[in-house]
Amino acid sequence: MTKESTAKESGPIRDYWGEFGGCFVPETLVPTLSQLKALFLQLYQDPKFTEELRYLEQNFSGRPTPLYEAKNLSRKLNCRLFLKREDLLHTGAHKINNTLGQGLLAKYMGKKRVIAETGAGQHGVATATTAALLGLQCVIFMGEEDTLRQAPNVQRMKLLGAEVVSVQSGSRTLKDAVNAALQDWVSRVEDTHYILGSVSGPSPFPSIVAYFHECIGRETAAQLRQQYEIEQPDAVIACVGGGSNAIGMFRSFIDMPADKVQIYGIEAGGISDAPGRHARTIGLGEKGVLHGYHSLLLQDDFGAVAPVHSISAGLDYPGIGPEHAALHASKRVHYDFARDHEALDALTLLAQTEGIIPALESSHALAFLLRESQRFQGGNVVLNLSGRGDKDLAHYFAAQQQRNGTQK
Amino acid sequence: MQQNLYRGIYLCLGYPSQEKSLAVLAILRDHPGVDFIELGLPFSDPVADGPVISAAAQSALANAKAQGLSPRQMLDQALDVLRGNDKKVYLMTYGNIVSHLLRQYGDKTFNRLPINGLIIPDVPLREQNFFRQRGLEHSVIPFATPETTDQDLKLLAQEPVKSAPFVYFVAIRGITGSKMDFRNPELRKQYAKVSQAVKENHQPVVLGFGIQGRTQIQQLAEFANGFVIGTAAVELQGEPAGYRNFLDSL
Repeated sequence: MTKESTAKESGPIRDYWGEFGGCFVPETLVPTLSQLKALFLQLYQDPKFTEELRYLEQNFSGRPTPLYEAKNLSRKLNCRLFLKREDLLHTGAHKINNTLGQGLLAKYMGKKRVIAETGAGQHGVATATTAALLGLQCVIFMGEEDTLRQAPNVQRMKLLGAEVVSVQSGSRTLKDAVNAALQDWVSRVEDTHYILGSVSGPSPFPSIVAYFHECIGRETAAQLRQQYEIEQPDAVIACVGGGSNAIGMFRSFIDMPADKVQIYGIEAGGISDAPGRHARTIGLGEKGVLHGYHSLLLQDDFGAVAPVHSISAGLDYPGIGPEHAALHASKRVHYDFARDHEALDALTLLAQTEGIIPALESSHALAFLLRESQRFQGGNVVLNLSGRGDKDLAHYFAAQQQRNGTQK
Repeated sequence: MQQNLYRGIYLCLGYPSQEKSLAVLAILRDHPGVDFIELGLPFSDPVADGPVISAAAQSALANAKAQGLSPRQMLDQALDVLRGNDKKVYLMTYGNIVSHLLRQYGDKTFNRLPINGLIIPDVPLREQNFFRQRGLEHSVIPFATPETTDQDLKLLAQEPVKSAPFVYFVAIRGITGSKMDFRNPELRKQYAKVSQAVKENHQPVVLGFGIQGRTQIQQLAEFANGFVIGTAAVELQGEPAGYRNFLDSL
């Protein structure tokens, strides 16, 4: 054990998980992050804050989300498959759990302006939605490449009143959007809160974001017991990019016995294991520091952050939240991957057997289950359906057409 | 240049090419107006840097990759140029490159490199021990800002920060290349507070960020005892003659 793991913990905030985490930011941001930590610790149990958040979760975004037994697919796979329907939330994915929580934090802190990074645009849309609801000024940083790939989400953000800044630096994708947001925040901390979108970034962000997503696992565990009389599922599966939906789901299950409750985090395997063709941070990354935290990181022989690829823009990220790196190191969670084409097939299958179009991100978790279904025979399997696939339709059909073309 | 100040220049290795940056490094090495050199190794995601240094780093990294020059090779070549000089040399790079270098050299070899310390812009005071616990023995230069809390000021007065060669005062809330007014009384008060906190350490408190040339140096000489110039020097790295003139003009 390294010394950091004994570092002070307070409430739901941890600075380190083993050697992973920390606060690797320019000194100018340190007072802001300390202030955020202190205010979060004041507010998270404040009855007014929690009541306001609960009201919005129930009546604005639509919690609790159902835990649906997918019987048609269960028959095919010879297991009992339960889907946690985060795809039914307002704006179409789990992201709104975090943006509502942090948006309220911003309001209570007296900040007038919120900023956020976005890759696929889901976190940007959720942030813009929250800002509109709470009357906050909103600026979204998005890599130029992503603004082109995800044009409909850019339109949604603009319609919601947000300014979308197209980031021209570096690879012009998600990682550069995070850099730009951090730089903006450094120069405008007095009136601005940065709504970071995953369980990554400098402390206290990984803890705060995880805290606002814990409802996913908490509801799931209760629904398993109450609706289905299942005390402990045999397996819990979620897709992992930065890792927010997965942490939200996993935290309610990691203290259950590891030999009974197996937990799987599924990364984006992209096209192949060649450099730049995947986003398998846990599978193929090395220890490193990016975006304010120490974790595993996909990097090249020059110590530079490596380009990444996934058919799903939400998993297209070279880092991974520090808690995941630690759960991998302790072997409590098994990390595996699904390739682009497997995710496409999984999306098709769920659409046609259950009438649910999943996001390409969530389709990776499903693809792993389909490929490895032998392992889960007769078991009770929970899968976090973190988002819906409406946003992916154009991408899905283009990719399928390309595959058909290649096959001919 | 003001003789009573601890005077430093930042250099972006590999920009506009490795050869040209080494040529400019030789000018720095030989210039009597320079006390220390901040040797910058480029990283792909330089969050503390503004557009000029970021663009220089991107271009340096692209050149290095094209030539197959690793960060280790770039650094070794620079240290060759500096061999036998009496100027202080601080390696300035991001945490991920420090991790990378510790892996590439092995900590024993890395600790023997002829440098006087590391400046790691994404390693703040409270993470000072992170690399030390991973085998790093070189000094890590501590940062202070106008908003450094009293709690963190206490860290400045303790080991290992206490024996660092200097304290880096980030004068500005922002990124490198931003403009700065050193006549601001509030800034001078904050600088004095930091100076007071490290009085027993006998270190210069070096002002960084926002210093473009002689005018600011004259302003800051009224209250500070050191400075480093980044952006304004990096912009001239491609023209050795202009670079030398710039150093002469300070």
